[in-house]
Amino acid sequence: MRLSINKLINLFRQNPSLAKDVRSLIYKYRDRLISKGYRKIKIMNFCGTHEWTTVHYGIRHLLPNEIDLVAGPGCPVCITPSKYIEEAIRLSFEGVRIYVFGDAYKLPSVEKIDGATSLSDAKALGGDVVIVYSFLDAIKNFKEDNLREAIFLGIGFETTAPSYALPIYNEMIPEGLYILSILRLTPPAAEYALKSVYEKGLEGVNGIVAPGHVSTVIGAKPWDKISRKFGIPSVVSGFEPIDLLISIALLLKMIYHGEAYTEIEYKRVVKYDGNTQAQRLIREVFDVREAAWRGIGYIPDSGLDLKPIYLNFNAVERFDIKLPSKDEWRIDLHPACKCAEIVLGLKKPVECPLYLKVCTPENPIGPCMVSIEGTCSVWARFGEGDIARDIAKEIELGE
Amino acid sequence: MCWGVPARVLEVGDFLAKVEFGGTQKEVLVIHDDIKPGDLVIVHAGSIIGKIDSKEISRTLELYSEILRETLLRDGVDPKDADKIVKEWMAELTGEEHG
Repeated sequence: MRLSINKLINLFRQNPSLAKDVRSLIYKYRDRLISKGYRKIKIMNFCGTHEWTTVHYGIRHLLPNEIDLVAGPGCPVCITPSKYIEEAIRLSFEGVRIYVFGDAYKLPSVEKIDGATSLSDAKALGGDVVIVYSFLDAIKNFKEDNLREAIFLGIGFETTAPSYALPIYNEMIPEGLYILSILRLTPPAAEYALKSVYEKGLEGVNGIVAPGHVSTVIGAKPWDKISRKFGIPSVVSGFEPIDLLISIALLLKMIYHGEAYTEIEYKRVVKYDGNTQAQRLIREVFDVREAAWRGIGYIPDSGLDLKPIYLNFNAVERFDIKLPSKDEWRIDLHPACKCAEIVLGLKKPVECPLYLKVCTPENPIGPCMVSIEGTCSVWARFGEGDIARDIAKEIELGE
Repeated sequence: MCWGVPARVLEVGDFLAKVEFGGTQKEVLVIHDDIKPGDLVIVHAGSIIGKIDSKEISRTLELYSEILRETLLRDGVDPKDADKIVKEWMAELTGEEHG
């Protein structure tokens, strides 16, 4: 069967009859769960793209009130420590070109460096900053401009890691181009978030929507492990609205039957063992280590560092970029910013005092308002959280 | 940031491939053992990280057509008419676009 891309997308996007059927299935399982004694069913996602789909297509408003969809750690830009941005700003002013994804261009730093609190500021003030779509484009630009030294900001989760690992492993990187690995791993952060929810005395998470593209690389196995450890089901989901609805229906069914393992809804792309070639490349090039997450601190085994044999490509070594140690670690957020709690699924954007009052997508103060998949940015742009109704009430316009 | 875009593979080299999405062509890295021209793939940050499995799509389509048929029957549509509607729906979904 040869399916065009448009047909494929519409199958999972513009399919109202199917959406209605899946929704009625969700309501059926909601009723069954209520009769079993459930009052709330909390489902957490671990991918910014899932949160985007949820908000953009109004999924929360299609679901019964008892189902609480919560965004967990799913945005690598949001958790990139401020110190890395500060060092990149400093170096951009010293004439070292910084390559950055557009998504992190406006990421704010806590410290002001020569008048700049983001790479976008730095560029406006004369720093050498170039936005790229991929590591490959950075390599091309470095060669074309015949540069002496430049740094690529290697932000991302497991999805992005292989696109750095392949050029490094196959010696496709020109001399003088360095990578600053800020790669982070999703399952350790998911475990950390699930534990935090319990430790804060909040209602526990009943089910997990596992990230489709992270799992394209790592497979479903790590989620299966988490499901068994926490005694809750997980479903690896695709990114179209129908995918997400089917995943939620599947989760409710599994919760009802007391099942704690992983199902794959996004079977058209994700295999149980993942992309083994990508995994091998990651293992060849990077070492797993304890790593800092912005606003949160160090999480065990949650980061990827270049192996010592790739010293020649490592920006940390060449430019002596050091993060504070675990003991020296201080929260690197604006004092009122709730991004850390929002990333861990402990708070919603509307519970932050800065949200849409002073912190907006045009003028972000917290990192969750920057990335197009940061929870605050997604909620702000597509109007999640009934904020208009709340403001109307505050100024005595609404009920 | 883990945004992935479906694309059609046009040419494959050693580490690089040319893909097309929505009329735009782009050179991307190939991080997959089994990619050939014509394949549908997922491209993320300039790399092919996964392949879209047409067998799995067929299975999903069959599942969908079953759900649709059941819904039609529940709504009182004659079984013969329901089959016809499902068939048309499938044809529209899977048929190649022209132009």
